[in-house]
Amino acid sequence: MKKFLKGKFDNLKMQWLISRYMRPIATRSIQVTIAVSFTIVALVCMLAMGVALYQRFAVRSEKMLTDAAELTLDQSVITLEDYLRSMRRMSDAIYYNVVKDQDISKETPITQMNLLYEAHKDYLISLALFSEDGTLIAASPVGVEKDGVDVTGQTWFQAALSKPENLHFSLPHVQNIFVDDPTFKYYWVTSLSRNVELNNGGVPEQGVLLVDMNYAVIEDMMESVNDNPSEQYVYLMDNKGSLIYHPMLMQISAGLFKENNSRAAGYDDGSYKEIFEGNERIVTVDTMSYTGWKLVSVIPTSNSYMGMKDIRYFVMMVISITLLAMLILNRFVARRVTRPLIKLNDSIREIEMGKADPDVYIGGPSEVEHLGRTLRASYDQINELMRDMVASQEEKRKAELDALQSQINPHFLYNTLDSIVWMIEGEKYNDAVFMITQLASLFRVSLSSGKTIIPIGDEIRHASNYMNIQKVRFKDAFSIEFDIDEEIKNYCTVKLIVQPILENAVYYGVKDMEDGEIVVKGFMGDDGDIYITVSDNGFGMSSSQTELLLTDDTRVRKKGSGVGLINVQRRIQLRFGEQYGLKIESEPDEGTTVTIHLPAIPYNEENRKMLETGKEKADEE
Amino acid sequence: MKNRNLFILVVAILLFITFAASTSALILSGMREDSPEVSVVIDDSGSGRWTTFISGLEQAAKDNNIKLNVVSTGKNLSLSQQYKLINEEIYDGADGIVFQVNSSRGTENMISDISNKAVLLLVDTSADTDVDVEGRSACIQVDNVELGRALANEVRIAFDNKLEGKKIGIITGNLRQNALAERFKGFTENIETSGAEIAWSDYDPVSMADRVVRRQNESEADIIVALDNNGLECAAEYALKQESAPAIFGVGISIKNVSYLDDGLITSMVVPNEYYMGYQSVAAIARRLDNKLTPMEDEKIPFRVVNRDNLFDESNQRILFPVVH
Repeated sequence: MKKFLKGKFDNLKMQWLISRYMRPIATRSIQVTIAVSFTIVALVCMLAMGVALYQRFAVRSEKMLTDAAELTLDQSVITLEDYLRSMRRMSDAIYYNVVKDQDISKETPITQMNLLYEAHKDYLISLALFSEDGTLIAASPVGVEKDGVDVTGQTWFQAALSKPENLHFSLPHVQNIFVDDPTFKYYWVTSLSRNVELNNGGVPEQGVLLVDMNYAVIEDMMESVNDNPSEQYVYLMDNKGSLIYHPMLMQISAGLFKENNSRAAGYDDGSYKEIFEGNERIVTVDTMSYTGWKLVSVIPTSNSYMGMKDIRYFVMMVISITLLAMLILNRFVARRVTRPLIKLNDSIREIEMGKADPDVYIGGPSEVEHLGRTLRASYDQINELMRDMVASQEEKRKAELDALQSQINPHFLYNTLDSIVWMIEGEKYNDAVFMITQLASLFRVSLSSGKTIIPIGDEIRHASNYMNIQKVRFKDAFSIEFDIDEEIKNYCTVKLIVQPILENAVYYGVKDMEDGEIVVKGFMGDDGDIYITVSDNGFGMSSSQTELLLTDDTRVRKKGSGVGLINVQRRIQLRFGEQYGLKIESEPDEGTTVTIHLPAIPYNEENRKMLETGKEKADEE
Repeated sequence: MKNRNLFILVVAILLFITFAASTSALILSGMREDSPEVSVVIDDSGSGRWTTFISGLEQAAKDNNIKLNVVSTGKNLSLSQQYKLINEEIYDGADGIVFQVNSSRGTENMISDISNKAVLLLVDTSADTDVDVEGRSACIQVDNVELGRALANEVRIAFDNKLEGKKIGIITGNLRQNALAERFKGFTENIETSGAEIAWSDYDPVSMADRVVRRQNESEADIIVALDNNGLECAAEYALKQESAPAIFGVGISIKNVSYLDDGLITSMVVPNEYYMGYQSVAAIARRLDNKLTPMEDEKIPFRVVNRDNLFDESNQRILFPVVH
């Protein structure tokens, strides 16, 4: 459970760490990303190369070391073998030339032994001949045996007798045979012993010939091999692994140092890698002929050439200079690569800041250049759209102002007021009151508190007010009929769209007819849209004329308020979209029907505001 | 943006500093720095008693790249003479001192003064010291009480534990040294229960040989036990001249004593591993000089009991006959 909780905690910690440290990195600029990636890639490459080079170097230097060690060993083996061979020869000389020929019951071979000793004094400590029971027959240079010494118990003596056919080299030991009193001197020797046949008054006897070699000679030889500043060393052991010479023999016997000699005794000649006491080392073994002694070279691989400290400093130096170079180089490269992007980014920032006519950067690599071009194109497009929008708003405003202005057309107002004056003079007060009421109502709807969108009910009231005034003015020369479905009265419409059509119907249709008739119908179509039709039975017009009505804006209008159908059409389409507007059907001498097509949008404050402020919404619909 | 530039600048400066530091370190390490110096102040430095010890010192000095100076000293220097010598050595640039104090009493001030100036390692015997929490000095010696007991055991074994009525003369060595006092204590504690009688115990730094003769004439002992190397030599030399010599036991290390043991003058000898003591003392100083935070620690060295039978055993040869040339 604890473990689970700990894991959970670690997870959370990790996430926290990632969010704490990774996020800022994630939002870093491209330049940093590039610099970091380059650095990582370069580091990885460097490391890989370093490792590869190191491996090669290690293998090669190991080979060099091994070769050198083998060479040293070979030379040492030759020198040592030479020395031991000369000792064997001397032993042979004493045995075959002196001892064998002599009858020891008559004379001892002391003179010849003394001569041989003198000749090899530098290498020898003593020569001695013992009988089988350990009695000393002759010795050079010192002839006095220690009290109570028993050579038969010593290993060299036993070895000589146990294998009479061989010569035996003992391990180094302190000679324990002769007295060398006043100087209290003890000698380290390596004993070369052999079984000899003695002639004791004609009776053959066994005996042991001992050549005690000065161990210091072997030691000097080995020390000269080991006399170098490196940590490499060479030691000598017998075939069972007992040390004969080791540069740290004293430390080993004092327990201060350890050597892997018992294991190395099992190695054949050649080089081996081993780990001893936690250190990796190369061990090279060379076996000497006859004695079976093994010369072993040990090379610790951890620091073959340079000191550990030096390598550490060197690695630190290389890493720091490389990182420094990479930092500078990568920054330079990253800067070069990202410069076009940064310039582009600056351009975008300028656009964001709303700088008039910003200079969009186009350049750099093809991708960035493409981005720049696209940005400039979109910027230009946006600008154009903006201009279009401003223009359309402007147009809308102008169109509505026109429509509004038309309501206070001085001619219409003058005629109406003139009619009212005439009625008052003719004391038709009721008619005058009606006219004034209608006029007031007309203007109320016209103004509509500045609203552009009004309910269809209000629009129809406005139209009927207008027609009532016109009927009075034209002395009921035509009839008018409103047939509006109640259900559509509460839908939205742009204001002042029916009146101009009625005006046209009056002035160009029924004004000069005797029984002119205008019918206004309002209903919801099968498609769910709203249709308001204004039909007259006037003179009608040709289809070419009909077309011009909605397209030619340059026509000079002679009669009416001056607001043409084209104004109505444009205002409907600006508010509701291109699919809405007017449709004119006319036949000469038959009459004309103008259909207003509107979307069914219920009138409420929200829809009104939406329609008045946003053209976009209307466009979508 | 500014922060980032600052960060990169700081990193670059740090890298540059690392580079400069490692380069200079590499160059400086190429120049061989002077190896530290260690001076050795022991009583009668020329004595054969120190041969093994000095070869241990020399080997450790070689292994640790240390310049070793064994100060030539006469016999029985006073504490103040030793103090003066050490100060001279420190003045001459010694970084470490290996010191066998001649008297263990009242050495507090001297030891704290020396260990303030150089790394101090006491050998062979301990001495009175102030509390040393930092571990600026230490002592390497044999477990002397144990050694005394072992010596007494050797006496018991040699006489088959039949010591009733035997008289023992003890050459105590310099009892002002803690080591000898402890050996004496260990030996007497053990031997008291054996029924042997201590005929005399004495020490004379100058003419111990004469003193032994006088003591033996006054009250002849059947067994002479020497607690130090010189005493053992005196006892053996005394025995050499006697027709019926007393049995001799003691602590020894010199080749002379080994030879007397070989000749059968000495029955049994306890040999401290002084090579180890020498090697470890310089190695400990080297460690301390290498890292000033390494506290010095006291250490006990092993000892062996050698008699005529095992004198030439392979394991004993290296300790007893270390110098082969």
